[in-house]
Amino acid sequence: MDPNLRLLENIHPVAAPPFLLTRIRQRIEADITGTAPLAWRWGLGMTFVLVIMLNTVTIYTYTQHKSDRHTPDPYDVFMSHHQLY
Amino acid sequence: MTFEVLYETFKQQVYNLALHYAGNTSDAAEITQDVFVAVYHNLGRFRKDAGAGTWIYRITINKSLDYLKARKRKKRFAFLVSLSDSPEAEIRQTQTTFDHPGVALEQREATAHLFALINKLPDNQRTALILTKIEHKSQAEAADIMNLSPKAVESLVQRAKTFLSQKLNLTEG
Repeated sequence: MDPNLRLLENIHPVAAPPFLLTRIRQRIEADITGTAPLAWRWGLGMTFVLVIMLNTVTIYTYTQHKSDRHTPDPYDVFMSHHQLY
Repeated sequence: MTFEVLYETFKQQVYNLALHYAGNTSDAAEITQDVFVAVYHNLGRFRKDAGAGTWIYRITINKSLDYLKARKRKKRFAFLVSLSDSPEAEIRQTQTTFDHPGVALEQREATAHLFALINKLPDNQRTALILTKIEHKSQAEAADIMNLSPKAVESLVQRAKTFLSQKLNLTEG
């Protein structure tokens, strides 16, 4: 074995710092309080998609309806009534 | 087995394994936290498996490799930022120095050089080398952790040793 690789065998185990468990608990707490459950996140996402879809459909049908009930321009009406023959 | 029992039983192994991957205490502490947060969230899944040690070793290896990949990405980004002469980027680039408390002071420089080369190895070769040569696991234990055959582990270690010997001879010669 390469003598340089023997350096690896001389590495000693060290003690884990004592503050780790406190930090891990803090992170677990933050995860629990900071993130909504998966079902809630899905529900919120689906509601958002539904609202967007309803808005799109409403805008589309409104514009279609408006173009069907096309009212004549008052200028055109005036001109047709007062045409000179 | 409760989370507290698992933590008390495996904290040393997890921290030391993370230290061998990261090469410094602050990153090893971060990885250890990531590992035990994952352990907490997946406790239910563990109960179906056989060995807690193997399971936690696997999580540690995956978290360490993920952490190192993220660190590499950050370094690359810091390099790009440093092109615009930002002092922030210089600080970020100097943060990943070798600081392994398990290495004797007189061997620190040589070991740091060796670890720099180990970090260039493919992930599976690096893991096989760390488990067998630093963690002193048998080939069968390493194979169990890595989900490979003992022969495959032996081959990975051999390839890693060949690569390191070549690189070390090049730098010495």
